[in-house]
Amino acid sequence: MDRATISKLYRNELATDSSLSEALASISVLIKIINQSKAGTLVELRNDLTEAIDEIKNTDTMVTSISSASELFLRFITLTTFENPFEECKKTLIERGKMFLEEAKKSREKIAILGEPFITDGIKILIHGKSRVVLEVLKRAATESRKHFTVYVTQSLPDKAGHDMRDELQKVNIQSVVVLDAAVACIMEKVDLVLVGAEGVVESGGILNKIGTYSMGIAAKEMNKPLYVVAESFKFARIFPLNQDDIPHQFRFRNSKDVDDCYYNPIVDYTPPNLITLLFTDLGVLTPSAVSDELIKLYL
Amino acid sequence: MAAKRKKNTGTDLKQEEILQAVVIADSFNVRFAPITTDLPRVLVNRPLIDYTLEFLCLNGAQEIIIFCRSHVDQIQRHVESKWIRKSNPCTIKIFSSQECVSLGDALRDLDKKNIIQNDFILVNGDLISNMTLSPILQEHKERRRKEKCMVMTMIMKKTNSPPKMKFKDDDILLAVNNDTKTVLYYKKLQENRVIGFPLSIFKSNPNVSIRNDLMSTGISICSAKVLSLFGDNFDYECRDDFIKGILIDEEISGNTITVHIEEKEYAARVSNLRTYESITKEVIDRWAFPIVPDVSFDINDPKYSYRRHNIYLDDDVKLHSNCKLIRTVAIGNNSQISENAQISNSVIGRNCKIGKNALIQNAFIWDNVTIEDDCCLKTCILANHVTVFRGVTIEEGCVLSTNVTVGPEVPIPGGTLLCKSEIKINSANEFGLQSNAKVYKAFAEDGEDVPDIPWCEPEQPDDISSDEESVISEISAVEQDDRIAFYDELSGLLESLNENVSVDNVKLEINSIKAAYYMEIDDVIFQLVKAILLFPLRNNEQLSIEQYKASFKEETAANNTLVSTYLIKVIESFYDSDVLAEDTILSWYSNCENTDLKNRVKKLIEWLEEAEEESDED
Amino acid sequence: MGSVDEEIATFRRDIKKGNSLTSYEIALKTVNILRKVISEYRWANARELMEEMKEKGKNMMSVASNQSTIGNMVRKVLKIVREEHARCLEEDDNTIEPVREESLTKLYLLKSEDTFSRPVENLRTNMYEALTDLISELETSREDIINQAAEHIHSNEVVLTFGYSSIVLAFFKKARKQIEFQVIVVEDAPKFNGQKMAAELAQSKIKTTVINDSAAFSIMARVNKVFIGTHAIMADGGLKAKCGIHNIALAAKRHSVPVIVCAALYKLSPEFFTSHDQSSFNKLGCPQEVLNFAECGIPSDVQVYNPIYDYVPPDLVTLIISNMLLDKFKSKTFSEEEMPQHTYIDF
Repeated sequence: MDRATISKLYRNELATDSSLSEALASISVLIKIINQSKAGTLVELRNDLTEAIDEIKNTDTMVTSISSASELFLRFITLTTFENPFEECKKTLIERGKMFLEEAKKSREKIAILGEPFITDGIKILIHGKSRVVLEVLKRAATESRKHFTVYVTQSLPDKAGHDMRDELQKVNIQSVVVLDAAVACIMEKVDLVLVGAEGVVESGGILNKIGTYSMGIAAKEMNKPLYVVAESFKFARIFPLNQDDIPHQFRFRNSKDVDDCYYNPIVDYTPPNLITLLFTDLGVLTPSAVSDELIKLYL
Repeated sequence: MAAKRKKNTGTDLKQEEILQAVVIADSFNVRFAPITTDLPRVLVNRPLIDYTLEFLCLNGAQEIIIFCRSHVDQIQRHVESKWIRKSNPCTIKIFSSQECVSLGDALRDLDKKNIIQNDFILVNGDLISNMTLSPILQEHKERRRKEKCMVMTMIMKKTNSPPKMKFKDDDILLAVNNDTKTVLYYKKLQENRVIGFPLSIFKSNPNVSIRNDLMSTGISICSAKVLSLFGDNFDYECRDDFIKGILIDEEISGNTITVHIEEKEYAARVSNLRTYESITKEVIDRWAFPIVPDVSFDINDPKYSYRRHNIYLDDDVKLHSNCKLIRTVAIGNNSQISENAQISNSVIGRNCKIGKNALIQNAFIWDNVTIEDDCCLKTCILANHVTVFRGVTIEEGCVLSTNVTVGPEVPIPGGTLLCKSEIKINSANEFGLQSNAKVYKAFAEDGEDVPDIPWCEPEQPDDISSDEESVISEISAVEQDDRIAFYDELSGLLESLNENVSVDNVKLEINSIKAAYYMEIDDVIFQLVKAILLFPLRNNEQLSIEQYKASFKEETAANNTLVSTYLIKVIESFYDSDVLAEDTILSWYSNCENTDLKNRVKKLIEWLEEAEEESDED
Repeated sequence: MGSVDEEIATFRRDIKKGNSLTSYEIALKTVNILRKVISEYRWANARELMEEMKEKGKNMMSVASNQSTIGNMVRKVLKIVREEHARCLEEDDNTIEPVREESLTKLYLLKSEDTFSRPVENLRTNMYEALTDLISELETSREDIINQAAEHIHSNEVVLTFGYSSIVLAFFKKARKQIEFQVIVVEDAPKFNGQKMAAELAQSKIKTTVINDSAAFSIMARVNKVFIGTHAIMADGGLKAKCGIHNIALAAKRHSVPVIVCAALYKLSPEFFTSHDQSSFNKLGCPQEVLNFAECGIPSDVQVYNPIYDYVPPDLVTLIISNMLLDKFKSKTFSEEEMPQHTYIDF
């Protein structure tokens, strides 16, 4: 399969279902690739998949979650041993891949159930930009448990995703206000808790997320406000950044325009675990230190 | 039965003795009319009887007997569905009788049924309490072991509400022996502000306290004897009659009542509209913990969730984001509060709808009530299925009975009691075009008292002090009446001595009139001495010397001017006729602290002393 | 006394009546009742047994949703049922994969969840044994904690404690057998349980000082260690402890004094702290203890609150002494001990 078809497939997936995150879209593409692959052995198939993953990463999107999700996907394929003929293996793989996708899609709801009790009536919440999981949690709290609360959304430059987020919240009658990214510290004394999504959850228990999360975490810590992270478990990534520069370059910068002599615009920053109160994942509510446990269980 | 109890003092058998409780689930008055004509009362969305049953179950009652008169079916159905179940270790029986019009009747009925053998707890069906009875029961049993005649332990609650806040019912004056906790005197003050006490209670009891800060809780621990006492005395109507009867007959029957004064724990009776209001708020404000809305009595009870400022919400309460619940509010299942409504100090039942801009203060709203937009409710009770149309203002102290509709756009003046009118009302109803209400007329049923306590009466300035003196003289006159009559009879009797009636017979007569006037023995002596002293003096050798001596020790006698004027003559004549020795008189004089008396007899004493010195010189 | 239902009714009544039961007694009673369920009820498989237990557990918990111990023990027992079921199945035949806890691996590998509906032969006897083991574990748990006393208190140290805690009291008594030290007791208004604690400590010949709650900060400078009991250890490693302990912990932090918590396994709770208002977290007692009802003139004008618990964030707790090894930094292990399922509030 050539590169053009892969990226076209990927774009199609994203276009058909807007609630689908980049990571899930890429997995969906990978399943299709297994289906169409002409590979005769497991190793060949694996090579095909890695190539495809690289191609998807190049399609000018958020790379972090795609890479962690696809790595997990590969892991599940390699974890399995096969005694049957290869064609049957492929069937099992596809079946298993679909199940993986189904489970991953359900995880958002699981997270919403876990996170909902933390949103109590009458509180004020600060969120950062647009996040589907955050939206799901807030929606659940507002509609299912009929809680009233106010949401402050940062407009989140450079793509101003915060405005989108506010529109989504307004649709379900959640009172929401857009604030400037620069107003985070200023608004912090007003809010009761900070809720952010994540692009990736790293081994230390810290997170990689849209630029601005780190400063939000620092402000929250300074004012003793809890910072909760909502993230599906396929965002767990096997990297251990010690500082911002440790983040893989392809995660931080989308294209060459983001960094040159005049500009330095990373789109992702690393929020260390000491700034995070709890992580709500489909595996349960975790403290940052519990994340590495989970990763160790899987990869070691 | 008493004999059996005595025999079975072994610990094994004692454990089998089950703890019984009797609930009188009728107030025998119409203070809550007109709402009680259709329904049993509800407090914070629970039937009132539940609180009483919960209290008894928490205290480990093993058998509860509910005695009711009205709403028997409803009570029966409710109790059976909620309280009579396998997991409940206590058995509940319900009795009803239409003929019973008082507590006395109910207890007599129970006496006939002969189902109570042991000490039992007697409570009213409107009790809300978190008290722990076990130590009191223990104490009661201990005391009964020592004192067979102790028939009842009353439980009173200490309050500190200013007199203005007190309800006439609760204004009780009680004298109690601090050592034995025996009740010596019990009186409802009503309007009286001045009370006379029999002297004997102070003389025979070294440590007495007189209290006016107590409120009856209606809980009493009774021995089985109480029932037979009620059975024997058909004039006992209520608990007060019983207490009075016991106290009067104390000398004859020897029965006594003790009192337990509770200072810490909560106990109150929902006996009228004003207590209904205050107790509702106290329950919501958690004073009766664990009797609070968010602790369920039973697994099927509504589960309220607690919020700051003592606000409780049941499941499925729909609050508009703009409504304001200020404080002390409980809202029942499936109720809906609209935009801009403001609620404080109130209870809202199940399936209620509160319209926009409604202002609700101190209102107690039962189930399925609809209140439309722009209403204003202050201090009122709305029973089930009431509809208040748009723009109605309900002033303080109104009660709207079941199915009443009022409005739109009318004011309901304060203190109005409304019930549903059966006949169709023409369009000129004063309670609005769509109203079906008519004013409830309190009627005296079988001579019962009509609701005598309006919910919110205008505050009256208390000015008893201004005419206090006149009150005193008036009151003492009442007390004095008996004494004067008694004294007259005594004098008459003494006259008869001149007619050669034997002293023994006179004594007998005196005893009999003593009983007739309910006179205390000290009072009798006082009056007798007085009569004798005022009797022509030459007759006095005939009478008991002991009684004379008593008069000398009786300092109160000094207050009587008549006695003191004649005192010197009396003493002199006694001295002359050798009734009193010189030493006795002198020692009395030196011990006497009354200067007035001393001055009067001074001459005599001086003379006596001189005489003594002279004789010494001899 | 007879059936499970009656025992539950008595149990509910005891709890509702107040604080006469220690959490140890509550834990023991809960397990005992659940053990009775095994023998007294008819059930064909693990699922039916668990359903019966859940119902009983909910019945017991409904009396006090903020009483963590009952829930903790019910979850623990349910977990044992699952484990025993799996173990018995493995003995029978090993085609069915036992249920594992939620984890990354499980999430994507496991095909079908066990419904626990297969009848298992030895489950009844095995469960009974397992619960008897649990009871004996509970019974020895206090001893296990107390035996560590000498390791934590050293000669001539000044230690501070708050209110009355039976485990801390026993801990100090044990330590006193070997060394001499001084205890400062914070009195714990409005119940003043600290005074009772001080009296009992003094009886055991321990030098004891009582201070009022507000003096904790000023006295903290000369304290070497703080020992406290707790109502529950929450899923994030924080404490649900008596109201007033947060102040003590903050004062200790300010003076860099270690805060050591004595708590047995039945105190581990999978709950999270979300807000001080949350009714499942805190409990409001009777305002009577704060202000005498009879003495405040018109009570409706004054609102009186008497919260029972405090949340102490995990970063203020230095060490937890328990009957098993706990790593306070890996709180996932805390909740796993009790909670294999997602919906942690309903078992």
